[in-house]
Amino acid sequence: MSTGLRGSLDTIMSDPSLAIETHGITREFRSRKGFLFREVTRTEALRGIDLTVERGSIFGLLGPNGAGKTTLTKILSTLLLPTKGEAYVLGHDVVRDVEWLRPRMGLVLGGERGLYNRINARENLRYFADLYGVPYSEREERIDEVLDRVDLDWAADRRVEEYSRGMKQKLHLARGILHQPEILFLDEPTIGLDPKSAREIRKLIRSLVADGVTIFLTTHYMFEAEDLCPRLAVLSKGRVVAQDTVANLRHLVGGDRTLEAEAYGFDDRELASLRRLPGVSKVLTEEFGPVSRLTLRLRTSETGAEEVRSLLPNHAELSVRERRTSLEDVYLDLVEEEAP
Amino acid sequence: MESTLSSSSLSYRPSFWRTLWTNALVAPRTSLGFMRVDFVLGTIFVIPLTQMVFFAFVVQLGGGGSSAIEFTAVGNAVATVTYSSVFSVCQTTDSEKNQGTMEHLLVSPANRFALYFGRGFIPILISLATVTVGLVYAAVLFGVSIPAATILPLAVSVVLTAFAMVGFGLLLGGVALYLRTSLILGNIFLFVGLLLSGVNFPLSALPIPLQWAGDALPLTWGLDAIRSAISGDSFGTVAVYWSAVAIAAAVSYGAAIGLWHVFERRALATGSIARF
Amino acid sequence: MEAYVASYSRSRATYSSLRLSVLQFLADPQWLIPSMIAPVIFALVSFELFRGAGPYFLTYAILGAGMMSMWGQTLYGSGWATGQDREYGTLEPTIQAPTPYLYVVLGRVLWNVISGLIGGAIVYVVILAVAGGPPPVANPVAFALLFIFVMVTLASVGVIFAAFYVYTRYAGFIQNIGEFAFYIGTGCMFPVVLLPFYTNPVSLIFPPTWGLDALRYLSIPGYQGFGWGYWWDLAGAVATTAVYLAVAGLVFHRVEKHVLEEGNLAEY
Repeated sequence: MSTGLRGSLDTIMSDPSLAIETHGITREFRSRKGFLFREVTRTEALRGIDLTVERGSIFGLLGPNGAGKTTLTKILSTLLLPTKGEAYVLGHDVVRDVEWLRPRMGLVLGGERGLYNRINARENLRYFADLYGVPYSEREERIDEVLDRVDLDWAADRRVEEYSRGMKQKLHLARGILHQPEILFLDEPTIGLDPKSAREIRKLIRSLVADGVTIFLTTHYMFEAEDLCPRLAVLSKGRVVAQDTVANLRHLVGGDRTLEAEAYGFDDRELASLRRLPGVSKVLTEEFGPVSRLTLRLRTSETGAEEVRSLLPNHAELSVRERRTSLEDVYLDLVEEEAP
Repeated sequence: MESTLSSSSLSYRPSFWRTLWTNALVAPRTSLGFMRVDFVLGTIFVIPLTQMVFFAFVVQLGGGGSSAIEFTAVGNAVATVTYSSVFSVCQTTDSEKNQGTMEHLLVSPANRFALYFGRGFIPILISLATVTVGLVYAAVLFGVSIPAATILPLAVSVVLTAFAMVGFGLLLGGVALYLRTSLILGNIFLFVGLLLSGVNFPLSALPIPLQWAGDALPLTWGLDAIRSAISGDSFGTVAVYWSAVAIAAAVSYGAAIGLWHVFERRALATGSIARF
Repeated sequence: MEAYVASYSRSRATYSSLRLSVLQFLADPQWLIPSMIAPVIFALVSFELFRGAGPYFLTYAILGAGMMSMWGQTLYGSGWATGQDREYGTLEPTIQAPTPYLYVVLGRVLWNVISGLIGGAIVYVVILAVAGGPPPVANPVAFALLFIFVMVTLASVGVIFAAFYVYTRYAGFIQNIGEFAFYIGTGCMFPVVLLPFYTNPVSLIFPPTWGLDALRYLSIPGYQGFGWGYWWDLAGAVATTAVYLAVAGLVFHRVEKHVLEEGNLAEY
């Protein structure tokens, strides 16, 4: 069993209580263009990722398109080698201990491809059950079980090419859990699903965690991340810009509370006075046509809607409302800070 | 911010020539085989040479003399056009289905003729190059005599053959809208051409019904035109073959238009557009 | 919940892959048409071209056409199936499974051997029908057994070709371009000794070259070939096939490592 010991100056040990541990993961892609004089373009998809995920938990990875979420997922699931750095899954090196890891991990990439369209769902699952060594004696029962869990039992004997996008997504999920993995990588698992199906999948994910499975989930749906993930990381341009519980991330971007004020334009003097209010950590401005919106992040409870109204007496049309800082606020604040 | 949309929803309507030109330049590049210049060069320079050498040795083992070797050299030099015409057009169509872009093409208002036949432009150029290179090999390596006086009628024969073969490829490509893949047909006609088009032995060696079948293929007439031109036949004789190739081309393109229309409707009715 | 760790087996994966190949073929029987037409065409062309090859022209025709048909099916079909995995997007989940991909490929190669043998049988029947009688073969049982072994030599090369399809999405095009060169170099339709002598060492790298030469020794009286006789050809076929199969594992391991480094598994 690999312990991650290195003969180098910096000895990195894998913590056995962690499901995932990464140290400085970097991934560079090279693309070549041209015929005689080939031009090589290098793209750094991941730039030194350090992550930890506890066993038996659900961990969310958020980030804009192109941030490197799928790249990191593929590295952790042994489908891609990192250019630099080390990653351990279930205490084992993803580069050196591939044979040990693959039977124990499941990967759901989803999408329209990745299934044998010309045969039915049951045959697709039989094939992968064989590749994963699901015992013959349990195979059919296990296939029925996973099809039932993803609500595809009624369509099991139809060709996959006749499936809707949502049905294919469910079949991907069924394949991912077929062999009872200890860790499951889910790349946007509810994409393309109707709300009812998406809720069922989230319920399935919770039940898998209750069974002891670690879930590593990427998603664009903030409410889903907030609903499912006690801890998450935000990835932007190949770097982890934040990694913590949702509550702590709220504090990171300036507080649990958010006040929004809308009116026809605010001047600099008003903005400056709002920034000086006690507990205000951040003031953001947005324009929606003639309407301006100010978003105030509040660390403490000293400032409320009344205090804001008192500083903006010249706006008869002013509307102020208070709400809880959402994960979407956190995400947008973190990601926009990284923007040029 | 002011909208850039005009009040008329029909203000954006692609012109025929623009559609034709765009498809001529873009469509082949969506197919993997055209993404790299080395593959195109391999198709033009390597396939004709190896196929010609292969059958030359077979003929030699079969007791054929130099005239038989020259016959097969010319035949295979021209037959390799099947890869760049029939195959590549079929492959472009299949590639659209695999990538899921075929539906988006069919939902567009683009003129169908321009959409489909623009795709034949680059294959025509490559077919011309392939046959030309093959004939150069035939002259330099296999002793086929191509007098200077025959160059012009030969060039006309080659151009007509390339056009006709691409038309044939478009005809088969249209079937791909309905079938899962047109490569099956491409494969079939690749083999059939070897037997029925007079590539390796004269058509007269075959039973009459098979000769009739061979006469239905553009490659047969193209080969006849090219062999006639190389032999230095009179303009009148060669022109008869040109007419035959032109008719074969016209029938191929005409049938292709009809088939694409018919199969597009069938595919929309059965939902087979998305199946591959 | 515990993963099914210990119970996957390589032979099971091979069988499952063979089964999948059959299911996919049956699901799309359109491919039956070229699979049957190609051998018929090769048989007729071969029959016509070999007419002047002397008293044993039928044997040359059967061997030549049969090999053309089987070369295509076994050799190229094996690689092409992996290319299909790329197109379908199933290459990633299959490589991510614990079973080494080599054993999945072996299942497909097996299917292609079977369908190649069917193609060979079609060639035999067509040529018999055209010729009006079977060609004289001194030892039909030995001939049949050696015929099947030649398929194994083809399969061993097919496995390596499949690795190429894992390596790059362009494998199909490179294969198309090199197709006839490979037919020439391995003596598919005609003995390799007809080629310039300096090309012979290259030909001898490939197991089918030896196997086919042995087949001609067995079926064509007075055949000279390389000159070292039937048993040395057979030994060479066995040895080279063993080497190919032995290195297949290493080749797939290196290729897999390469594609995981390059990150091009999802490309098609």
